[in-house]
Amino acid sequence: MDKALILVVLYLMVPATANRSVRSLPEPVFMTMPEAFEAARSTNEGFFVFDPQHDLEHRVQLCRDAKGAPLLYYADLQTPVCIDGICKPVRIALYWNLLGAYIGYGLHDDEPLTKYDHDLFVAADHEKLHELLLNKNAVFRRKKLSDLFDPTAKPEKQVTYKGEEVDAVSGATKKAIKDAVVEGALYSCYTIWKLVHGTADDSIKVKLPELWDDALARDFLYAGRTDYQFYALKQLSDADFDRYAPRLLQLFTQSSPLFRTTLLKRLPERHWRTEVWKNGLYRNFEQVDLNTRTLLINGLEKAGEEVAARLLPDLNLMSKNQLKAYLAFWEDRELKPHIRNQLIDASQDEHYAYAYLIGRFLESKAP
Amino acid sequence: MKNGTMKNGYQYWIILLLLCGSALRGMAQEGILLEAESFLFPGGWVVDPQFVQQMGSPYLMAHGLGQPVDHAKTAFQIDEAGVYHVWARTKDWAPGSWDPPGQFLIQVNGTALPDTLGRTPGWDWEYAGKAKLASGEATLELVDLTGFNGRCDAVFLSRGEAPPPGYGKKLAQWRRQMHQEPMAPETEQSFDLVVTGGGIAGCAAAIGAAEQGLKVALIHDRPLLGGNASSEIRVHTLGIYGKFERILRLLDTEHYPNGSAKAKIDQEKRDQNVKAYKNIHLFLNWRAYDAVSEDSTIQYVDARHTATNERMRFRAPLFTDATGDGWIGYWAGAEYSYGRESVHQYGEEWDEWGELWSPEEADNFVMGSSILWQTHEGKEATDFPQRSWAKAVARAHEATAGEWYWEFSRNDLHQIEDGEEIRDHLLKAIFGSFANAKALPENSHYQMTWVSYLLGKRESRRLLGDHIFTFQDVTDHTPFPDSVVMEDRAVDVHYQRNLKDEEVPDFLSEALFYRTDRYYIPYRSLYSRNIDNLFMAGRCFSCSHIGLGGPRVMRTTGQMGAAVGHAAALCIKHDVQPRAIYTDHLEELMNLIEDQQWIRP
Repeated sequence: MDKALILVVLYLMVPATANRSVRSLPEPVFMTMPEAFEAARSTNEGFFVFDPQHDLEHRVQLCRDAKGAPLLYYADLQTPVCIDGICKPVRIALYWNLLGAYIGYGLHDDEPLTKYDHDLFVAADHEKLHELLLNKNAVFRRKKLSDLFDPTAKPEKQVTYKGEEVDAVSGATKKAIKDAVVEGALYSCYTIWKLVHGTADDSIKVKLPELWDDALARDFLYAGRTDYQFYALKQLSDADFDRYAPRLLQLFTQSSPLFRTTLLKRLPERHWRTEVWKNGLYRNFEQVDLNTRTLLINGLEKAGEEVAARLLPDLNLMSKNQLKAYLAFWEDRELKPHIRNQLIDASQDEHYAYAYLIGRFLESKAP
Repeated sequence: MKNGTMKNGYQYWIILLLLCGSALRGMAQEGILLEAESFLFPGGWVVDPQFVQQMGSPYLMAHGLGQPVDHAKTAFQIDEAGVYHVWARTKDWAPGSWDPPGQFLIQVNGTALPDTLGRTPGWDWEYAGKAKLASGEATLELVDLTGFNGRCDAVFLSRGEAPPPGYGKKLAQWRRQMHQEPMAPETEQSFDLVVTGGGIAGCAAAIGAAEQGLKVALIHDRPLLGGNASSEIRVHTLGIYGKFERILRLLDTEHYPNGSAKAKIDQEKRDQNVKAYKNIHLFLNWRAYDAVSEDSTIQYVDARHTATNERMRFRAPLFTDATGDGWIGYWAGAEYSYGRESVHQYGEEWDEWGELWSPEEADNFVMGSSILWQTHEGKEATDFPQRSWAKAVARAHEATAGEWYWEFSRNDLHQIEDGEEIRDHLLKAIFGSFANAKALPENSHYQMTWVSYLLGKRESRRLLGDHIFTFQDVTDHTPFPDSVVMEDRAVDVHYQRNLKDEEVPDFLSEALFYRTDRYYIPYRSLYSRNIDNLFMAGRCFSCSHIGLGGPRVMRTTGQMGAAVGHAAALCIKHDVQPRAIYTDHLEELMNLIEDQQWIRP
């Protein structure tokens, strides 16, 4: 019988992994969400994804914690890795988070990953594979298997598998690809990457609204992952901005400028006038980045005069255009004496480069 | 500091120019206004016309990379002897708690006035001192003290003690009075097609039209053609040729690293090739400042010479806006967009990058502008000074070379209106990062050889056409009946890296690539939807923010220009406006574009 066929038959004889407890899976080689893995319990919930490469289906399982909260997905699967009709089975457990982002993989003790020259993966190889799988935009994204080789390049070495000479390893691999994959394991890397980023990741994300509830919203907001926080932020209702104000304001100070600016864009108008939000946002004016300050100044129309007055001691933190926007806020408003006096003081600040703009503004407002 | 020397023939020039009066930009009874860009000898100072619409005039800048440049000099006539107060319109371009970087002095008749200039944060008149002048001819020089981009818009000498208006409409009005300028330009010319902007798109438009027999005016505010591809900015051209390989090979560049001096070779090729067309009337160093439309039709474009301040009116039945910033359309009242649309407006979501790709709520956080620069490793160790104003921007960043990702955008800055601030921020970043690198022993032989002072912009106004090219057109690979431009290049949209990590300096960007198969741009994206006789080519074509991501490179914008040039020829032939080419003569346009590939020049 043809060797390839034997391998495919062997592959098909491996029992399906559905209904197995996640605790029975091997410890992950890599896991970027270890706390989720520790708490995970397998469920019967899941779905099949199709692997068009090998005309196979794989089951992706949802894991929940002991209280039933969704945590992650996994697939303990076996797939053939084939070159020129010669196949070998690869067994691997893949893990995704609830947004479909790859988070790690695990191996069974008796089924280690090997290269085509039978060498076992060493620690550096595992690291490289993990890095590759983390990259959703890896070089494989728009490549077919046949695109990975330079047909004009001469292989540096010929590699055999089970007595057969296997072509196109290392030397013939296109240069850009060679650096990104585990040397001698191009096909394994390609096959596993396609399984991780084929349809499973998108299917998982599509399922998320079905799982979404208040508890999960809270989990996402309190998670240490920015992709979870962004997702949660985009789902928040008007009332959620009351409910989660303490956490959102904490993230406002601790997260990236991108999170801050996204939060401010999404904050419903009425919240700009509540004490919690006014205080939480504007008391951090000095600490936040310049792009966030712009949105805070632009938000003054919603936050009101009292908040605008609070920024008077911080004028020297403003860029030229921010100061112009700030002064424009007062353009058609009455300048109460204490505000005018502070503006006069600021206009005389020799250390503030744009003090002259305040002077011009006061001139234009002169009775 | 280098001392300026009188050049041979200087006296002759003074006499000649005093006789014809053009050395005196505005000699009114109240004083003498000397426009810096019109100085007889700019010395080592460069004319910078980029920000006329914001600060009022081209100006002279001492772009010396830290080495004071040769004096700029001029001569003028004093009718009435006496003591004159002297002001310069200038600015401190890096205001803060440090010595202003761009300091200079004014020297009258060889004697320096006491007050150092370049000290005020916004453009305004600064007092230089007073000079006792006899009647007759006098000379005035700008003496650069730092080599770090001191700048002077104009010098005003007056018997009175009050400076002129410093900014805004009052200044513009005062200037017109001083120059005794009538409302309309002094001279007028007529063409079949007026192309404004001599970047790759504008050049290709001019060539396309000229080859079809049109009399074309090509107005460009620099001495060299090519815009971002010119040897003054040095971005290499990317993209495919589409149907216009023959024309674009006359204009494009090799794929050298951005900033390479090899740009000079392509510059020579480009300039020669465009000048070889007898019916392209080239107006180099002319900057358009107005376009007037009546009944949705542009009547004329007015332009001013960036050094002499001479003005000219350009009339034509057709106009092409290849300014990049969409100025012609803007002045003429064309509809335009600026900024990032909401992701929902045109359905441009790419989930993977979320807000960085296209925001939920529209904003002004467009792709930024770049300044390229170059160094080389010399035989001897040299120093480069670290300055506080540069360090404040560069922070700890070290670099001995720049690239496209030296890019600056911020949500309070407008890429057109705040262009000067953006340029200056990048200069600080470059000088500071290079000084940081020079502090390391391994970089002791590096020398800064070239830094552009012209902003390489990626994104500004986008004039709206009958079709707005979007991400959907890319992902659908829509083959339009009027596909006149094609491209294979990835949609390439940039964001500032400090949005994700605020520890990264604010002048570094990252690209998001959406790789794709071929997509097409229809002719309908290349003419205005509400100004009947206006074409556009270049980054100001009709597209969304994301739509711009792929075709903003210069072979693609060159395709747009060439297509527009051919369409203009058909407009003239049939005496119709651009839209009618799509509705009534599309087959002829597509055939013409197909056939022009085989023209032998």
